[in-house]
Amino acid sequence: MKFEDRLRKAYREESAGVTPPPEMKDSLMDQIKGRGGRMKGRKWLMVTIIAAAVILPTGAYAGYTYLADSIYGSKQQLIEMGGTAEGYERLEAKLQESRDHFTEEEFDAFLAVLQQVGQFATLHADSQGNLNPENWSADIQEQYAAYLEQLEPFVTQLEASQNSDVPPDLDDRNAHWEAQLAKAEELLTAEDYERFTLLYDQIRVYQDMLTRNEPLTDEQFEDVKGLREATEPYLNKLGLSWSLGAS
Amino acid sequence: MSGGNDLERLAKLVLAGQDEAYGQIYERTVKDVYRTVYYLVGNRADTEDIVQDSYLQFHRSLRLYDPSRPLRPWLMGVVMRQVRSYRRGRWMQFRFSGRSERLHDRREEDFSGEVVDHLTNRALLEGVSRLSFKLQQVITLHYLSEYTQEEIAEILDIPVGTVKSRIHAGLSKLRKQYKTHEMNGKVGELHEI
Repeated sequence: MKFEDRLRKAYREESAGVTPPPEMKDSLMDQIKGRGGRMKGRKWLMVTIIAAAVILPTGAYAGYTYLADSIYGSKQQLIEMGGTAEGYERLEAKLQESRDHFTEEEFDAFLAVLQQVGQFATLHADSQGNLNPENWSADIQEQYAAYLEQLEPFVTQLEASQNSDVPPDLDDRNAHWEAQLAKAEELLTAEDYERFTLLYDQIRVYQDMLTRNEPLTDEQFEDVKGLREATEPYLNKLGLSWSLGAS
Repeated sequence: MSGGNDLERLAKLVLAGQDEAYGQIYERTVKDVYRTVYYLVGNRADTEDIVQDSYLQFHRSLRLYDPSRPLRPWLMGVVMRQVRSYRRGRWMQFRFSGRSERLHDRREEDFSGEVVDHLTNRALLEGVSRLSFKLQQVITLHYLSEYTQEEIAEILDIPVGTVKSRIHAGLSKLRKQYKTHEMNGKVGELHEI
């Protein structure tokens, strides 16, 4: 087979399972019609949380590697229950992403609530795995509302870092930055600290441009690379690293 | 590829205020857009964000679109600018060193799965992901999304000659990687696949 055809075939076969989540369209259309916020904000989060909770094995599970295992038991189990491997991977990615916004204790508490909501959902979801609160008795609806209330503080916290026009990674950066600034002042000499904040302030100008959706010119991007390099020794001293290697 | 003149007709309807037509444009194009972004970015969480941002941006800038031109490359141009901003943004973040490794592991795992040594489709696509971004971009647009060289030139706003030479360079590097695999006896059953 010709090499180029081989490459086409690889893409064709491997990409078959790579499909966008169906709920993305509704979210997009809501935003276009001015009815909703970004999907990665509260709405997307609630979709994920409810999706996570809909099918939950009530049995005990052994140690897991995947965070999603703590909700579904295992990928296999989810598939047997009518889920998809892809849905599982997506949930895992979202959970991993949420973990970055919580302390360890908070994240454990968040998972614990998700597990409870999941057990509830196992009992009350319909045969398609959908939750239909309008068909439930008042008691069950009340329980459901109580769970949503328990989730609220976690959602609010996640929302604070995700639901804005700022890409989540940049938000993440801000949080890290604020947290590390005091440490930097303590760990670096006054002279280094000044030099570091000066360099970083320049990088922030570019970050803010991207946040406002203004593209950087190639020259500006080259400038960023230079600034990265100059900042590296200071980051190392603070136990930080650039999130991408200089490739 | 699907779409044809229909997409351009739908774009006119959107401009005339019919939001539902935008839903149809989305339906007809999103699979292609999503896959292209996924293979350039390597994980689903970021892919979803970029795809969503791209369609919002595309909707906002639709009034600048000239309906006499094909819509798909124009949309993909918007998408590629979002991918570029995303990548540039990533260059400016730092993380705790430990956390950075964890995220990197996840990204690799998500993308390539557990089979790396065997010559499979995945190994071949993993090879693409090791190319420089400029080469990855043209290879992905040409062999995954099957855009012509002329369309890619329009999407990336570069001369057709540059597209040709990038495709050529990308393929040569990929072929070379394969030779190394073969010499290392890791080819598996390429010709049977």
